[in-house]
Amino acid sequence: MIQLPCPLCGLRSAHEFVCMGEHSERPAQPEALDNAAWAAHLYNRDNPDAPVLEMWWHLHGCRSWLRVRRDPHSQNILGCETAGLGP
Amino acid sequence: MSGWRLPSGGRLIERSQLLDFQFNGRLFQGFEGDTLASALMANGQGLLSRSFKYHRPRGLLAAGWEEPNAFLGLSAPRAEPNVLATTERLVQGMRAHSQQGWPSLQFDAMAVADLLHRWLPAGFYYKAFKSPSWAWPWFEKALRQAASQSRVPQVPTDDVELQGHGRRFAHADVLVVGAGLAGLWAAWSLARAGASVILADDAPRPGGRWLDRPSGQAVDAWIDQALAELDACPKVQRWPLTQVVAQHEHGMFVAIDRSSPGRERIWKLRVRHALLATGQIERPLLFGDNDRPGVMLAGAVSSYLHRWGVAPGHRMVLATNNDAAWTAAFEAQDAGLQVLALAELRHEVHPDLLAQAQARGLEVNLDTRVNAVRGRSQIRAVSLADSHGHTRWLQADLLAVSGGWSSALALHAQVGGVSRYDTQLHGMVPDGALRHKCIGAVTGAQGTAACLQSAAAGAGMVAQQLGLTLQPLPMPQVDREHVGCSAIELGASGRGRVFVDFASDVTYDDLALAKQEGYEATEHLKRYTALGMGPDQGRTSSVTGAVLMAHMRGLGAGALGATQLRPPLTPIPFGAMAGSESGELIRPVRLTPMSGWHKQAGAVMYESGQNWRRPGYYPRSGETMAQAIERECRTCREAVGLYDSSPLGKFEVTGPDAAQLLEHIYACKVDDLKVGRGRYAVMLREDARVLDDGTVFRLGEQHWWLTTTSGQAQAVHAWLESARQVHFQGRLQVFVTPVTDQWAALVVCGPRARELLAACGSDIDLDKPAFPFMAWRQGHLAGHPVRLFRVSFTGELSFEIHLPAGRALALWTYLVQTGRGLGLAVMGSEANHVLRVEKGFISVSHEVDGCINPLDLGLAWAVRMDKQDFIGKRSLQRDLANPQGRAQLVGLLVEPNEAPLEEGAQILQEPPPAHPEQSLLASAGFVTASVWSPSLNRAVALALLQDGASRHGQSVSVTAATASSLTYRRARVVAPVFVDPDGGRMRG
Repeated sequence: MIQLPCPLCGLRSAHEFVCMGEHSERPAQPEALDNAAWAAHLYNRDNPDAPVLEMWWHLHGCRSWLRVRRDPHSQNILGCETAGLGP
Repeated sequence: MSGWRLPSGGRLIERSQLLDFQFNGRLFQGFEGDTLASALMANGQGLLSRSFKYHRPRGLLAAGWEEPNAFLGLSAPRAEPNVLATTERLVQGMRAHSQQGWPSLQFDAMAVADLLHRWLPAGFYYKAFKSPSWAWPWFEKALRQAASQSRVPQVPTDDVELQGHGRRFAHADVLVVGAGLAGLWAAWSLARAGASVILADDAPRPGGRWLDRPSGQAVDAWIDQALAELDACPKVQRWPLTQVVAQHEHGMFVAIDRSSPGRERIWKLRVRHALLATGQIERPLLFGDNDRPGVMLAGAVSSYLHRWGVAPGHRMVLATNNDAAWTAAFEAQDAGLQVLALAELRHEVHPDLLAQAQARGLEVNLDTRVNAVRGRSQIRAVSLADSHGHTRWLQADLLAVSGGWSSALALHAQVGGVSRYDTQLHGMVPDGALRHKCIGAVTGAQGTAACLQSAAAGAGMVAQQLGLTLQPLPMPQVDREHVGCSAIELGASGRGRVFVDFASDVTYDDLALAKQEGYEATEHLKRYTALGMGPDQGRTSSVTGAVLMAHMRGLGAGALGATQLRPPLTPIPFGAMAGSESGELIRPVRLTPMSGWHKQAGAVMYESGQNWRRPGYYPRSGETMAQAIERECRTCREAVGLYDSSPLGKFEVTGPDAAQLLEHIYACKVDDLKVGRGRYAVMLREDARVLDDGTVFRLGEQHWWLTTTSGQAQAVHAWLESARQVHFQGRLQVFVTPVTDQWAALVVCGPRARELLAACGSDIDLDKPAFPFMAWRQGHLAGHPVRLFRVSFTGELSFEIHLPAGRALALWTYLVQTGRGLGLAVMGSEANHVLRVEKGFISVSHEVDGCINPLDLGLAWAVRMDKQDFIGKRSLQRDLANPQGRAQLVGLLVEPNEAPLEEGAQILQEPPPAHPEQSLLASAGFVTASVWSPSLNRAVALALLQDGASRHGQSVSVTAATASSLTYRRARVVAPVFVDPDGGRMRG
């Protein structure tokens, strides 16, 4: 079980978090996208064999939503920061 | 076999303590400290099992976890199959039995499989037994019987102790895996430097392979000194009989404490650093019939001699390709065995070794291999062949073999460590970035000095990272050691079949067959032949197999890597994994303040939502389930009902920007709600599929109260926080507080609901003009501070009473008592379900399937498309532009009026397919909820039907399945509401 360096709580076991998966930034103007582009944002994810941006939620901790950059090979956490200004 | 107990010696045994045990019904004796294997050997029991496929007689090849043959069944002190005799500690009264062999171990009828081996190569079942196809069920049954190795023990259920030891957790600076010399050195060195250390080793005593040497050496004194200091150090935890079985990322390890067999305990470790001193595993040699009882690994011979004071035979031949194995011959001679000859595959060895052998009067044959063995259940003779092909027989009952040593790299590999083939060592060694965590013999270091040097280097790196300084340690005195090895012999020699993997009965010919069939990669080879798939996981076979296949393919010996190794390292009992989480404790349970009351009132409790226990129905004496539910429903519709809705998800949203957050979350408008009012509200996902439904009430200007379904409470919490932190980037001034557990919710519903509340005494004006539908009021009820919400899930006049959880039981009891006079009935979730289906109210767990938007459910009135952007708006625009063919919520009346339809039954396109089995291809929808309606006295259902809104009045076919067949029933599509369509009762 990997550990995540929560910026507020410190290094915590992944048990405390809920992994929300690979992140796709919500387009600023959804109406401006056609159906195909909107569907791509909703459903398509790159799932690359490379470090990927994921969203994790620290449910059993500070309840921050965290932007986590994780390398799926080494499981190294390359970045972990709060999504917004904080909880 | 002709094993026998030495008159003295044995580091691990206590000769003053005799233990009685049985094997296959025969009585034997052993000593305290024996393993089952060493005790059997001491009693001359050499034949222990029959091999997996060919049912060949098998005995002990090894002395530890690498043993591939000796899996026995136990019936005492516990019933357990597949116990490894070489690691199972002997206890008084142990009863063991061989697992294969019918009618007996000595005379196994299935041994005919060995005679038929030509028709039973690897993967034979892909080719044979395919025709005639009618015979396959018989073949399958026979094959399953033949392939089974053991029986699940028949134990009376009240004897079974379901609860194992609970999991425990530990943290330390360093984990050292393996307490051989390298592990002891590293642990000692780091302990002296001040680190917290866990030293785990799977043997009962530390020392690793030094336990295989005669006792009383200088190294023993060194080990004792190390242990004395380690055990005195408060920051050191030394765990014997504890095997580290898994390595995961970020310093997480799983270990299993095997000190109480049958009640093992799992430890989860999180350490900052780890050093793997896991050592090496010896390889057997390849020659015809190399699996016969009496053929044993040379290192194992030494193990038995010195750990347990048992000799595996009287007349020994040593066959080897490396220096280390010569020690086994010397030590065997010292112990009193007759060493007939040393057969060395290499054509030259170090002159010191030759001199030693000569001084002992041992016959040495260089450039000599084993040609054949004689004897089936026990070898009687060994044939050696020299470089010219001349053979001769030696009357030996023990053939000690050594084909070299393979590093035990499983833990290193589990976390992505790679390895490479070392052409000098003729074995795999750790490579890559993670190799620095390996210390000692596992790195390929040869000889004590090299092992300790690698341990010092590893400890040094860890100390540096911890910011500690290592202090010098005394060096153990060791005699001059010889190291040297030749490559794995590649040719199959002599007659008889050459076994590569003993546990799975894989022969050299099977590898050749795999190559011929194209299964050349090691992963394919493994699956095609089953090499390395047995309970020993290829410990004595996988490296040999990889090298053989590389040679067959004309590649260098190390060209093919090992197969992927995954945790756990060795078999772990399910009981250990379950720990204390079994029976009632298998999952966390969430209870409401009234749970005890429900159980006492005789409620049948259901698991619901997220780990909640809720009452399903309250049967009175003599009532069936259906009768109880009907009574509860009728009482609610005719008098008054009470139910516990405490698992309802509840949130407080407060702050100046609360309305902005909620406008974004909900499909309806909320910022126009007045204080004191509320609304039914739907939350959508970004793709407009319904996430949850509930209510939103305005408690104050900046104070909002949300309710959700109990099953989605956590998802909604995540959703709210995601909107606040991710979408709005935390810029809004708003707090979201989940209060599901803090507030209990009691619901009083039915025509006499007001009467009941009034009878309880309240300062709240309950009359309709003062307290309309979808409003909330604060005050007191029976002396308790409460909030009342006029929300109805049953379709009746309904008051949801919210109060702090600590007061709920008292109010509930008072309501029940007061309600008696009004004919109150307590209702469970079953009655609730019936009542809401009658009203056509949706339930997220039934009518929402992840493909449904609120318009499909007839909730267009709960969606305001003219709002600014809200979650789901964009996808709703798309859905609105493509309305054809969407599934829509409808009601179904079963015609003729018979039993209710099945939930999940398919509604078919008209006309329905001729054969009901094709119905899934012609589905136009499905039944989401189906009940017997007491109000209508008929079966009604809700369903999602393609274009259902325009099909009211039509008759449809619905599938109905019995145990043996699939038929159709008929139903009429109607509007999805059966009782009080205008909602006058709940608005009253």
